[in-house]
This record gives sequence, structure tokens and C-alpha cells, in this order.
Amino acid sequence: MSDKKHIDRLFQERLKDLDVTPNPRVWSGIETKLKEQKKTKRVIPIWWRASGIAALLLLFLALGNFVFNETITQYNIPNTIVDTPSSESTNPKSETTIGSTKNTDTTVSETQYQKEDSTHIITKNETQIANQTKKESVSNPSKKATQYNVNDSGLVSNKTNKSSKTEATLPYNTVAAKEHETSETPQKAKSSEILLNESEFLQKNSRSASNDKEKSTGVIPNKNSPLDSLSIEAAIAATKVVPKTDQKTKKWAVQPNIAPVYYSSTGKGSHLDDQFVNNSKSGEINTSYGVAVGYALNNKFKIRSGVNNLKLSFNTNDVILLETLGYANTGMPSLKNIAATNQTENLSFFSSSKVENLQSSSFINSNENSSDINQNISYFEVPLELEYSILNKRIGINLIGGFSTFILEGNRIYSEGNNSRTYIGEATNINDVSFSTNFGIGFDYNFSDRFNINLEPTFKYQLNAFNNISGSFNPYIIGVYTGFSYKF
Amino acid sequence: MSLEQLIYNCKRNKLKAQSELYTLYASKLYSVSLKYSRNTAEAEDNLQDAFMTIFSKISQYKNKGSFEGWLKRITVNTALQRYREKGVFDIINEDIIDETVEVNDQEDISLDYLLKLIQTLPNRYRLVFNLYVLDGYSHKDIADMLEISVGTSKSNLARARLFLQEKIEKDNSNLESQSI
Repeated sequence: MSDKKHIDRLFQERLKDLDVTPNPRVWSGIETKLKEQKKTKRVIPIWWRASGIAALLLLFLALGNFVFNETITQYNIPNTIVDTPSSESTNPKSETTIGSTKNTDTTVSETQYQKEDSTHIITKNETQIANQTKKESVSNPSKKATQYNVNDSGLVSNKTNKSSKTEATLPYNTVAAKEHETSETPQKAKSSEILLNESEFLQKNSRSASNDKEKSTGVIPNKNSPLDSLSIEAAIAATKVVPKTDQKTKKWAVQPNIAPVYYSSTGKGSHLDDQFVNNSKSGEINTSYGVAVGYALNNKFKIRSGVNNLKLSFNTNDVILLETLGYANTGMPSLKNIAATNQTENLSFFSSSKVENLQSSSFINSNENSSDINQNISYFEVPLELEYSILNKRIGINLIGGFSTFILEGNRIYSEGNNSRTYIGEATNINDVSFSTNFGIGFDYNFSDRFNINLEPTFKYQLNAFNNISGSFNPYIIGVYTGFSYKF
Repeated sequence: MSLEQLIYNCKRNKLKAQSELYTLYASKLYSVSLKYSRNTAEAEDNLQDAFMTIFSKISQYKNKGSFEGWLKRITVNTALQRYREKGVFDIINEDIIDETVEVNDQEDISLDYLLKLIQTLPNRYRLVFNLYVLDGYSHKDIADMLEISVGTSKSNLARARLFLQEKIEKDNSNLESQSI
């Protein structure tokens, strides 16, 4: 019959052979789920990547345009003076254009030309006006576009016969590129032609100015594919709408930070005066502090902005300070980029290399000091940066790239002698608004999913901090930003 | 295709490889699921969930140890997870009964019958019995896995044995009375 057996053994022995084939519906269920996963996995990253790239391009475009125009106003003014008469006299066609542009009186370059025509002298006030109008048009590209549209429509009707040929030959893709030339090329005929083309172009594609620009510059290779244009539109919408929408996940972060900043420059030159080109110069370490607000586009990309107060300090070494009875007597001009105060008007500065000659000619009749010129600049900085996460664990590593806008707050120049520090005056050649390109690497340590501390060594290369520079003087800022971040 | 190649392709989310892996192991893992579940439908659900976990976690498998063992562990864990969420293991303070439970070894006891018996066990008995008797986990392991005390694990096992014994004997006597 049967033996008594431990119940465990019974089950172990019998169930060892258990082998049941599951119903096929189990696999079809799994297969459906896997396919769904693949679809969502594939679609989402491509969309995000496209939108990320589009956002980056937009950023570069907007700022590139900004910076480009800014620098042009500074450097092109002397050229236009020279070129204006020649283009007027040599090209009769361009003269008629001038007539019409005078009537319309709209764009910056036109107003510039008009003023040059009448006076041939650029006074300080005029350039300021030009700058102002320029800034207006730059800061509001859509406004600029509509201006072109409205005013140039009259132009088009007047000039259709003469300029229709050039219009036809110019492909639309080049229009945006030429738009840059508008302000760059000194020749009026060309610029007005481009204006005409542009107006037509804008009328044809009047959906949105930024969208058109992006297409026309050809940054997106497949501009005809509906998917791409869709994702770009979506990306634009995302960058515009996103800050307003209420997100449940912790996408926002507030990040107060403080940093020691080191200010120095590449290139041999001086932003103070010609004679200091060969002098040794040294940066000093100062501080920057501020607060940033970040928004996570996804778990890889984060866009952030904020405001920082930034103090910079820079020394020009080996300067001899002379107290003269008035520089008019010595025949020595004051420093070209420094506006002296009344008290310091009779101080003259010389590079020590020059002074050796002066001494031999017994030019000097007063006390002599070997000193440094110390320049203090303080800015409000508004960065706009994109953060890409390489590692996102307890310890995070990010790559950071972007731009900063610098708004000049304070600007003082001191003479630093052996024991004395004398206020000399202000530098006249610091731009009120300037820009930098920023690169950095960020390390952070996450205490929780809300709170982390971070360390970000960042390099900022200033693009147009000074004008009227002697030699080449390219200032840069190195800062080690530390702070904490609170996500919500 | 070697197993290694198959695993590699599964890591790259190739549907063909995933299908092949399923074909290779479905019946083994389904058997595991059946033991830990109350019925066929639950076992099928468990098998599906287990495979979804396997495919999503396969990149974490580093070719160390038995692949089949890894798959089985995931399947068992999937089943346990189901019950852990329901909080069925919270009962403590049960007396430990430590006695040898024996039954008549009959040739005609079918595999299906034994499986049914296991499936009719209350959840907390079934899981401990499966883990200890059929899959060779220690009481310490079981205590960790089910988040219960070692004592509860031992007690549950003993009760499972008694439950099964009673069932078998009852069914036997029913059979005998029917045959008479």
C-alpha cells in the first residue's frame, strides 16, 4: 500500500516536475506592453531633444543678434563717414534710394546716414541717439519686422521697376544673413535693397518673426519636414509657456550663490591708454553674489537665469604718477579713457618705461610715485544659461553654457601708491551694457530631492566690455560659484 | 544564438530576442507563478508582470550567477510584492507548532491535485510553505522577504503543513468512503 512520508518530501518530489505552458495570451499581453514602451521611449526623447536644440538655437540667435548689432554700432561709425560720399557720387541708383529712405526715416542705419549727410560729423549726442534707436529695434525684433513691413511697402511700390531684378535673383534663404549685413555694409544701395527683399520676405511669411528667421538662416536642415517644424513650434511654445504653467513635479529651483571671482585678460593691450599697452597687468580676486532661478525642461536639460552683483578689480602696474602744475604746461595729455575729477586734473600718469626718458630731459618738477592704477568695476549680471546633466545621482555633474548680460553699476579708478590710494576718476570707455559667453562645470551634492549644495567653476569671456581699447584687451572672469539649491 | 547573445539583445530591447527569451523560460516561470498564486488567472498576471520586470531590469544582470535563478527570484518577488502591498503578513504572535507532519504516500496523488492544495492555502501559509519547502529559502531569508519575524515564519510553515495534511487525509477518506 503506502508508506508514511513527510509532507515536505511529498510536495518537493511531485512539484519538481511541474512544468505548465502558459496561455498564449500572456505573451501577447507582454508584447503589447513592450511595444507601447518602445513607442513612448522613442517619441519622448526625440521630441525633447529637438525642443532642447531649438531652444538653444533660439537663445544663440537672439543673443548673437543682440551682440552683433551692439558691436557694429561702435566700430562702423568711422567707416560710414568715409564711405558715404563715395557711394553717393559713384552710384546714381543708390542716390535715388537715399531719397526714398530719407522720406521713410525709419531704420537706424538710415537715420545715421541722414545725419551724416547733413553734418558729416558725428557728435557724441548723435551716436547716443543712434544707439538708443538701435537698442529699441534690437530688443524688439517683432516690432522691427512690422516697422519694415509698414514703411517698406511704400518703398516697394515706388521702386518695383528698378529693384525687381535683384529681388528675383536673391534666394530667400540669404535674406536673414543679409539682414546682418544691413547694418554692417556701409553701402546704402545694398542695404536698402535688402530692406526691400526683407519686407517682401516678411510679408510672405508673416506667421512669426522668430520662426521665419530660424527657417531662413537654414539652421534646421529639414525645414520642409512637417515633423521638424512642428517640434520647433512646440519648442518655442514650450520656452514661452513653460514658466507660467504649474508643474506638479519639482521643476523649479531657487539657487542663491556666492563666488570669489578672478578678473583678468588675454591679449597685450590696455583699456586705459596707449602708453600702458606693455605694462604688466594683474587681476584681483573679488566677490559675486546673487540668486538664480532654474527650470528643468526635462531630467537632462535645465534652463536658468537670475541676477548677480559682481565686483571686479583690475590693476595696471608700473605707472608713474606725477603732480604737475597743469598738464597743459607739460604738453602731456591726460589718459584718453579716464575722465579726471577737478582735484586730480593736474596729475599725470606715465608708464614707467616712458619716464626714464622724461627724467633724462629733466622734465619733472614734482614728487614722483611709482604706483598702480586700480580700476574697480561693478556690474549687475543677468545670466541666461543652459545646464546639461551628465550625472544625476547623489552627486551630480552638469555642463553649463550660456550668456550673461552685464549692466554697469559702478566704475571708479584709483591710483595706488606705496601708502596712498587716490581717487582719480571714472573710465569713459566701459559700455553700459555688455555681454559674455559662459562655460562652466557644475558639481552638486543632493541631500534630498529638494535640497542640494553646489560648486560651479565658471569661465566668462567678455565680448564687448570696453570700447576704444589700445592693443588687444580681452577681459575674462573666472568664478567659483558655490551655493545651495532648493527645488519646488 | 547563445544565451549570452540572447541576453545582450534583450538588453538592447530587441523584440525578437525578448520573444525568444519568453519562449525559453515561460513554462518554468509560469510554474513558479502557479505555486505562489491562488489561481490560474492570478498566475498569468504574475507571469506577465514578472516578464515586464525582467525586460526592464535585464540591463542590471551582469552575467554573474545562474540566469534562471535570477529570473525565478524576480518571479517570486513579483508574487510577494503583490501580497506585501495587501499587508497580509501582519499577523504575529502565533504559537510555533513543531511536530513532524506525515501523510500516506500514495502513487495516485496527482501533481494537479497537489498544486490545487497549495493554491487553496491561505496566503501567508502558502508563501512561506513555497519559499521554505519548495524553493529552499531559510526562515531568516523568508522573514526578511516578507518583513515578518522568524518566529512567524516558522509558525506559518507549521500551520501550512497541518492544513495540507488535514486536507489530504480528508480527501482520502472521502475517496475511500466513495469507493466502498
